[in-house]
Amino acid sequence: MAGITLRRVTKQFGDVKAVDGVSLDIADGEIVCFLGPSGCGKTTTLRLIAGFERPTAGEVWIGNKLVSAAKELVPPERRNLGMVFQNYAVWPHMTVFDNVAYPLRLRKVPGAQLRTKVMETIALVGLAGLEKRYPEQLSGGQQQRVALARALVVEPDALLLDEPLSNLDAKLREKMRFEIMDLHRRLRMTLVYVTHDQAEAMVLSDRVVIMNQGKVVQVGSPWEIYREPADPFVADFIGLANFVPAVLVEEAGGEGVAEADTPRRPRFRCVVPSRPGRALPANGILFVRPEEVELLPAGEAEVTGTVTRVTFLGARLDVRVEADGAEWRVEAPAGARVREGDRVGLVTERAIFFDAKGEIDETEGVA
Amino acid sequence: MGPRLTRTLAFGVAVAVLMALVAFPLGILFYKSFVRAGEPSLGNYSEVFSDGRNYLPFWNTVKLGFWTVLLAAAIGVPLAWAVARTDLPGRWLLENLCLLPYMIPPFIGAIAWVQLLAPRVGYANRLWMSLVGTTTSPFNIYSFGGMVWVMGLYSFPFVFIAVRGALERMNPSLEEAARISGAGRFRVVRDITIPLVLPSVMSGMMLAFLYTVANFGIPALIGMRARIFVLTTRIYSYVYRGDFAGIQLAAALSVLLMVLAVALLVLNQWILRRQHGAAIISGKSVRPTVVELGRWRYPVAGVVYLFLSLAIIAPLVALFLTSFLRAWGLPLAWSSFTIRNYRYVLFEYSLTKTAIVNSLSLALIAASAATALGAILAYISTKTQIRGRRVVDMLCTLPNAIPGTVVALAMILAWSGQFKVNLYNTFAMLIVAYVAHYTFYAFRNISASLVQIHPSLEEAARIAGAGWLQNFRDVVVPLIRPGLVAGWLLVFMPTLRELNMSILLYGPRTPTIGVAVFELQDAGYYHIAAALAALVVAVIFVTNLIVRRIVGGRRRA
Amino acid sequence: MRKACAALSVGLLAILVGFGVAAKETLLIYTSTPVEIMTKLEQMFEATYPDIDLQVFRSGTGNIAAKLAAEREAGKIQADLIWVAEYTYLEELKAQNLLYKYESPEAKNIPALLVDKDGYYYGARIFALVIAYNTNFVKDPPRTWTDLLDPKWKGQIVTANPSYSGSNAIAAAVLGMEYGLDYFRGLAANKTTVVQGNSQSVTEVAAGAYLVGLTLDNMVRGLKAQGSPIDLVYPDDGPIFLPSPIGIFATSERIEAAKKFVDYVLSAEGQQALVEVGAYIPARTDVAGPAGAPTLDELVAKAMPAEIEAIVANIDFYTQQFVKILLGQ
Repeated sequence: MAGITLRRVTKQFGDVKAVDGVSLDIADGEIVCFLGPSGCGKTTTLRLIAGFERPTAGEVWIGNKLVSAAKELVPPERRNLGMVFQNYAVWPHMTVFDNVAYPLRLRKVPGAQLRTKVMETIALVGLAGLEKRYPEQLSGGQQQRVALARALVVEPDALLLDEPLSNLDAKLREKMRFEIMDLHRRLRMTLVYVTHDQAEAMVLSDRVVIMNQGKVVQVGSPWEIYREPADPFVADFIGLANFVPAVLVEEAGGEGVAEADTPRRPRFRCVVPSRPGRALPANGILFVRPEEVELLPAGEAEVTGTVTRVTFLGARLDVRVEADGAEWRVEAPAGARVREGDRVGLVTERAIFFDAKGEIDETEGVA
Repeated sequence: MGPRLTRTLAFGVAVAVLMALVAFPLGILFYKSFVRAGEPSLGNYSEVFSDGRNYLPFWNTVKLGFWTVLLAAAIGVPLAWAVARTDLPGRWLLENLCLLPYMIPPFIGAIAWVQLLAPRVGYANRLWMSLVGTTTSPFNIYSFGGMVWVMGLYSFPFVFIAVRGALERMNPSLEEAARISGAGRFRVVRDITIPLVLPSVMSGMMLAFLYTVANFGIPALIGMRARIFVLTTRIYSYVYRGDFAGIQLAAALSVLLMVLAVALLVLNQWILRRQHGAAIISGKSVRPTVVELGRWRYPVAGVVYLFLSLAIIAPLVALFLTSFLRAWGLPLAWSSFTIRNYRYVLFEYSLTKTAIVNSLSLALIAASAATALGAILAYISTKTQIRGRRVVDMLCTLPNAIPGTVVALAMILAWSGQFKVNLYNTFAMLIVAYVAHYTFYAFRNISASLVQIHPSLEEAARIAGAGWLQNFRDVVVPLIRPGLVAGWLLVFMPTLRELNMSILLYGPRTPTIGVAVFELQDAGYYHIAAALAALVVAVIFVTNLIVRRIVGGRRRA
Repeated sequence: MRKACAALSVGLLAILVGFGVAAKETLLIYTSTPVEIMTKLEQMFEATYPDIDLQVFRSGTGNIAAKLAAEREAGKIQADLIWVAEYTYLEELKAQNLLYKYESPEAKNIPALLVDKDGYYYGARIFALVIAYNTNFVKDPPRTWTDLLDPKWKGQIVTANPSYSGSNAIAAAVLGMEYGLDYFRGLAANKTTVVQGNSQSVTEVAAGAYLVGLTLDNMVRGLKAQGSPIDLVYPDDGPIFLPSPIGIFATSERIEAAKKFVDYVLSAEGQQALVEVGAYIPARTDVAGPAGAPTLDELVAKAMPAEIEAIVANIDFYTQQFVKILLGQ
């Protein structure tokens, strides 16, 4: 087993930089998810690690071995990796047993040992008893387990998974997520996982790598990514967000007060911490998670709005409030007594004040 | 007329025509092969199997098919791989070169190759003799090897098309999964790529086999001279023997040929069913993994293009050269060239003039009739629940699968006066045979279009008050127009230069282009045959360009 | 797209109309006369008789016989005229009452040996089966039919198939009666190639694909005049004389037009045309023959003797034996 290091890796297809100067250290035994919208370069990054693509510039290291550089390429078959593909890629002309046994056969593992190992791995992914079946006799989920077993059977240095669950239905997807986590807990191998499903990334990862337009935007634990997004893109991409244009009205001791940039007074305002290494901007965007907004009776807060819609989500309510021409999404407990047309006050304890440069498309990013 | 009546009438007429064109003649053929002097008898078959003149052609047919498909696979598979999976320069050109033999009828291919490889006279032989300074020539087209060579070159596109399709559709992850499992490039080809495309290779080979056993032109123009008979040429010689016993033996041989063809077809279906199929076809369009040939790129390209130039371009060039010669075998000097041959076939010789008019008229009529018939039958097959519509399917498909020679003989037996109708030597005889053999193309294309029309569209028309005929004319026909056009063209193109059936069915007043070329070549007017053949090739090119424009225009729209 | 289709159809129709045949009386002839020669003859005839459209079905006598058999079976003979080399076949048709008895006004101008004694057909196209050789490769050609059995010609001989070509059927009978089946076996031992017709065998010799051929003298003369490296030998043991007869079918519905064609080919004009386009030996003494060719009398004097009754009696046997021995069928 080994960690993986990317050093300023760039991959260019024609004029397009699919991957643009990505640097990253993945520790041995860590689960890292690459997350981002389609076309962000996450799959290309994975294929660079696998060795299917040659980097235009930069280096890829597995353990302490340089495997990819512009002039140097260890072919995929000599990297001792396992990989699971989005469309399973289970060989239709081989039985489950033969699919799983194939990597061992290539490594010339003797018969009895091979058999034991294959049966063990098939049992590990929960397919015991199906080893004589052909893939066409299996369901999608079972085929993906075959692919997983095939990737695991050689105990690879790292396991690469390219959107492995995206072809499965929602229930099965959730079940498989936890199974992959269990497997990882047992086997403790480095696991690089590409997905566009943030819930998947949140559940699985030690660290999440958010990519956009070929670049790494933020690397952090799921908690950090959610709580401390590096920029409006990440904030918008992960979870739900309220964005309000605002100006800085006070600043003192690493803290400030931002005020919504609305014509009517009093304005919505809140305390904003300065972010490490950055000064608070004069103009910017106030970012507030819906669950950070508290609804108060009208008059108890400086800003009042009208409830336009209440949606019941089981444990919580999704409340839309219109205040000073802006629409707020607020998450309220299920027991809260809010009805459409009510006048309510809005306050928040926690907000992030982003520099205004990042443009936000209001229609996207609300999952 | 009430709507139900028109519908019933349209269906009834179409099915009756199908019966008259297919079921009845093939039934008669089958029956006649088991009858002697009005008595049920196996005599025809025992004569076939006891006389070398009869069973050797059967054996030769199988042998020719076997070696031809081996050659076709040896050419088609590597070329398909080169086009689908490598970064060879000019793959567009490469692909079109590979599809070229598909457009050219094999009998013209045979004539073209005779120009290159005829003993001592062929251009390749002449070149060799002048280089080496000898009077003996190395190549002789008139041999079993010559037949296999030409047949292989004109049937490899079947393998090429099947394999290229499989290689392009194959999900690249399947091969990548093997790479990451530890298999090197070549190991992946051995363990994954080849097993997965093997069913397609086999299927392409089966189609090439079928094409070979059904072919008349190549064995007739190359094999008969070398005294090598196959079933199609033996049936031809029996029919032209002109006596009734000959026809009976031809019937028995035809039934054998039909059985051989149907067996191949069933085998092909079985292979395709056994393919661990659907899985290799990926849902989304994928960019197949392209093998970078690196420093081998230009050497490999050189070999490939040299081969295609020699195998596909050279014979056509030779054909055009000969078509400008005053007499066959003249040295290639300015004084030997003339355009007289073209003037002759276009304006002077009544046979070729009549043949051109005939073939154009036949192709127009047969294509239109086949499209009309195919449209109604396709409607019955896809849009109704009428019992026996599977039989309609089968009767449309079968005559296309069985060799034209067999269809033609069945027509002779059924429609030359023994059952009150006598079409022998007439225009109608050729039309009937063409329609029987080629309606399948219209049927298949129109069926494919019809399947895509949701029943609600028709139901809406009916609710709006349209009768069946109005509905068919105003709703169904406009919606399937692309299928109709494609079907029409697919019948028109091959009938324009048909030979396999025409050679048995033409009369003194109804020669066709295919027959004219064949007869000219067979009678030794090589330079004139070459001129007519060159014209046919030119017309095929131009028609293909037009068709591509039409089809391309439709795709863009 | 519809426009393109319409344009295509209009174009095709225009071609059809362009080729369209005007309403004339059509006369259909079944003949083994080579196409190029027949085309020119047809043009010359139609120039003289513009109201007649002569249609030609050209094939070997074997195919023509098969076609006629099939047409009789089907109940209707399509052709109006027949003109093949195999004079015994016209004897056969005559015996079956299929020929129309016609005394041509031109009959008096041609030698009696060319006129059927019962008046049903006329030898109108005079040629002979001879030995042809390629002058580029052969300096010392065979002088007799038996010279061809010399092993030095092994693999270099070509001839036509008697079951296709009537000329060769006659030749098979005459040679067979003279030299026996051993002669055929000798040709087979020398790997003689059998092609379909004489246009083909002569072309192969002219082109050099084969060095010598048993083929027709007029074709050799024609190619030689065009500059092909070919020449001929009238064998010392006798060329095979072939006075190709023309006859009218009794079933013809265009007897008068058919008569015109018979008269035309027998006329000085017609014979002159045959000399010009086909290098045939003229049937009339008032027409000059092709350069270097013998006269009819000289040819008859030199020819291998052949009794028509004997040929009629033996032609099927020797044709079958030839095919069996040389083609293995």
